[in-house]
Amino acid sequence: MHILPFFKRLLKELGSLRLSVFLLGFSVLLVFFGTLDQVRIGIRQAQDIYFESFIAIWRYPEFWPGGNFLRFIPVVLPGGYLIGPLLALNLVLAHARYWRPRWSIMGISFIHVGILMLLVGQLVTNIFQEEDYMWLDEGGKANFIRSFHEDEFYLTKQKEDGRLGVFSYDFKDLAKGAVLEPEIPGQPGLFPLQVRVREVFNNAEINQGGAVMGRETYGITRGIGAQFNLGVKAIGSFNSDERRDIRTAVVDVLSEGEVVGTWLVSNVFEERFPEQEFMIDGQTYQIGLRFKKTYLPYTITLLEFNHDRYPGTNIPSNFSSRVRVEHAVNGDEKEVMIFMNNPLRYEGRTYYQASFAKQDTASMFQVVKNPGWLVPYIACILVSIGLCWQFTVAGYRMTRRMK
Amino acid sequence: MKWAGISIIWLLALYCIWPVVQPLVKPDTSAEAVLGQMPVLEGGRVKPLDAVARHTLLLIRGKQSIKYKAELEDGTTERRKVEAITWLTEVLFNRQEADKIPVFRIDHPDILGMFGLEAGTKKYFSYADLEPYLMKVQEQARQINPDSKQRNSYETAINQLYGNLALYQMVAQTVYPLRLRQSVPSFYNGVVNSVMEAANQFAASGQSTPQNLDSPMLRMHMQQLSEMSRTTIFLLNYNGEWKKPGDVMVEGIPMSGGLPEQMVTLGKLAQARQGGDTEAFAEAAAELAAFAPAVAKTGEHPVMEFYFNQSQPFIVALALYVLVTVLVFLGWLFTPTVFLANAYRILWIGFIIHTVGLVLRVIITGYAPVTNLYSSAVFVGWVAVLLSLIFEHFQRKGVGSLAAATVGFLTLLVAHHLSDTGDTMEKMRAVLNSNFWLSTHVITITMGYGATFLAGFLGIIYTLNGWFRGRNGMPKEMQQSFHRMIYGAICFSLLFSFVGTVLGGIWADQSWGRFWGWDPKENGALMIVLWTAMILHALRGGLIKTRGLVNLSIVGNVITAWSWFGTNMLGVGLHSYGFMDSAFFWLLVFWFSQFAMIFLEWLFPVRLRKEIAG
Repeated sequence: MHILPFFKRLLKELGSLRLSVFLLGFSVLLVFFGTLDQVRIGIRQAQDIYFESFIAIWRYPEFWPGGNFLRFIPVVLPGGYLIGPLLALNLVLAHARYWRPRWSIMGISFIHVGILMLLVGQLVTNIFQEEDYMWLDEGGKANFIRSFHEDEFYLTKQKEDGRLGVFSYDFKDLAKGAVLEPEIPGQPGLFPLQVRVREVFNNAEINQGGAVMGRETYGITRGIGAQFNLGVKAIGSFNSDERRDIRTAVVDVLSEGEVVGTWLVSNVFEERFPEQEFMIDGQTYQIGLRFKKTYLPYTITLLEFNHDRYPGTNIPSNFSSRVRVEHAVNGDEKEVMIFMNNPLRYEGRTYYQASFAKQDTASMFQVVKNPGWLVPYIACILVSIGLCWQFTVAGYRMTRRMK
Repeated sequence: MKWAGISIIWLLALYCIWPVVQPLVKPDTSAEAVLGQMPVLEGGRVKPLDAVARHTLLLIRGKQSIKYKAELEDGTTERRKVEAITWLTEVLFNRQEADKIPVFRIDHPDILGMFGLEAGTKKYFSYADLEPYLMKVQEQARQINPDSKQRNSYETAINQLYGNLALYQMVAQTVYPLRLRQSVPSFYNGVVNSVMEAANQFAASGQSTPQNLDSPMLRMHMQQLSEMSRTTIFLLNYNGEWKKPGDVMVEGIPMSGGLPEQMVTLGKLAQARQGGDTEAFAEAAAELAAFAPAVAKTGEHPVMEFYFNQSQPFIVALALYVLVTVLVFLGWLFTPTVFLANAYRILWIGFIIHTVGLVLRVIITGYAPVTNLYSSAVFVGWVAVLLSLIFEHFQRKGVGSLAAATVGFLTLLVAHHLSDTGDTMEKMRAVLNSNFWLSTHVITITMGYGATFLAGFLGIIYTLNGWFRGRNGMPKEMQQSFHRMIYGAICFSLLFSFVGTVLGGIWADQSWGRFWGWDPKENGALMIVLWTAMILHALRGGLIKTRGLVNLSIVGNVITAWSWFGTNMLGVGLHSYGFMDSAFFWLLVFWFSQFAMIFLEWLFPVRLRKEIAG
């Protein structure tokens, strides 16, 4: 019975300027303490704790002056996931409440539509953005990219037509006890076997010497794990931008219900060991876990990498890669320069000059797929127009009053 | 009386301005000035030798000139002032004299103890003073912690001293090697003989490697030439390319069969300098300068940079801003008509010199005005002064002038201290090497800083002015004009901070593939945007009035200082290009002063006069 007045009141509060002020004030505090904590826990983890959470707690560092007792007083702050949506809601409701069709406040609508676009655009980016990389030697070519964060379990087999048959399964979907039926659409029976997942480790410590110091061997019978008597222990995430978690799994390969063997697969093997192989019925298969590989319908060849320096110094003035893009399907072919601040945008992916190695003969591109990349550009223009509009109006009034 | 006052004010102003005018009306024609204007390549860019001298001296001594007591041969002492280029000339051509000039600053008591000195007795040491301890310093420097963040004050100090000594040695060997026991020309001729002899032997034996060259003379000369090539200064332009003197000999002698002309001139310079023959030195200096490539062709501006460094326009502007501050206070105390009007005029002159300095920097570097922390400080001040001049133009009450002068003075002071690290016109690293983004993102964000500071300082002036009026209270009209000015500055700040932040995101998207990465510097910029937005919403919603506006703007100072400097001190992320320890102390001092201001205003609120005066 009192629901309606309460609801009205709530709506009014949610759309009030008072709430905007509080939310903005709290976000300043949140950003400040989040930045401060980056020194302790790094950018990535601070992002999780402060900007991508509902409640964040900051504690006074122990090694600061007076830290011995000040560290017991927690600073509780609303997290980014609480402030962000509330601000968006506040913005929409306030507009519904205060909006009038008048020229003098037109800019305000522009500003807020732009802000809303920025918030939503960032959400879209968070959900849909894919970040991969591509390493190329001068003269080398590739038709695939590797993921920075994702891993996949895979089986491969040389087909009769000379091409490679690939079955891949995202690591994040691997579940303990699951049985995978490797089927590739359009090519039934390429992999006449099943894979049973025995163990999954989001991050692991792998060492020689078998089951010692808390490590287990998990009954591995074949491949690298058996050969080197490797022991595995589950550990927590590194939470680091520099170091990838060591994703690992133990799998059984089954053929017609019979266990062929048990393998240890891990994303750190690829760099160190040859591929693990096995044979069933005279056919050779490869098995493993790797940084997720995405195949592209086009090939990129690195023609030349340049590392320019200022004369007489080692200060880099530019990094640039001359590449050729060849599209197998539509026959498109072109040569492009990729250099700092000038990426290549091609088929929804953007290639950035990111790194180099091997005495300036190898080049790395960061490859980003972000369907929302244009949103900030539009939002920026909208907000700028709005702000200029509003301040011109205010400035005009002010100078008239001053005179 | 009135005219006497005005005359004194303008005499003072002219005295401040003189350094900018002097090089134009009374150019320095000494041999050192000729060398000083000569272009050389150093640190990846062509600059006048004078600039190299200043930056090297700044690194070693922390100042651009040297004042010291020279001990004469008869036992008496004499006060001397040595300009940077004179010092470098001695280092290059007359090292025996240069080694006696005290340029190495040592403060750390443990290092002084190593030399058997007590702290406080002596601060500056000459190379000759330190030479006996070179091995010791090197030994100590080898033992320090390789991680620069974990070094203690002694380790930092010894590392710095070691670096300075190494730098001095490198620069000192540009023209001739250390421990040379013969005259420079005869050394050069000896090298010619050795190199030609070696070339003949090659030709005779038909071998391409010098393995059977056992002449000890040649080996020594080769060793000395390689030491000379360690210098950072590409002093000569040889066949259209910038070369170090050592390399000119290695490449030039076999080609021409004799000593290259440039080296002959260098020999003459050294001989004349060491023999005290001023005339011959001036002649040789002119000869050497004539080898430099025509300035118009290269697109570099060594002569302009020489003028810029000589005239120090930002220091001149700083002095004028101090004068304006004093004049405004005098105006408020005594006769506004005399002081305020002239303060406004002098402020304009300061602003013009400030602007000229910025323009010269842009022309010399070929980059947008803000390229590093130093130039951002100069630009922040410039923006604040520009905005305040607009305010003052509408209301000649001295408020705008005072705000302009204080922010201008403080930022230029900060800039002056930031320039200790050497060349402030350095070339930009690859990612930053983009004039488009430097002139959009960096400029807008810096304008945002300037405007936020202006708002904060207007707030402080409001409070001070209010207290100054005491029980009488501030007139309503005055309060309103403060309100409007702060509001205007905040609006300006929001506009530029927001646009700058988003442009930064777009730049990051262009070069790294991410729009927003929670990098400390990005967060700092975001805090300014959020804070100014909060102030505007609070005003609009009627949650605050003038008093709230004033105090929140002062907090804006705290946030801007954090965003500008604090985030760089964290040592996290992509923008940590200028880590500074001592600056952290000053940041804390600044923060404390701002909060103290707000606290005091809360204890002793500014009174307002109820009825409008008149």
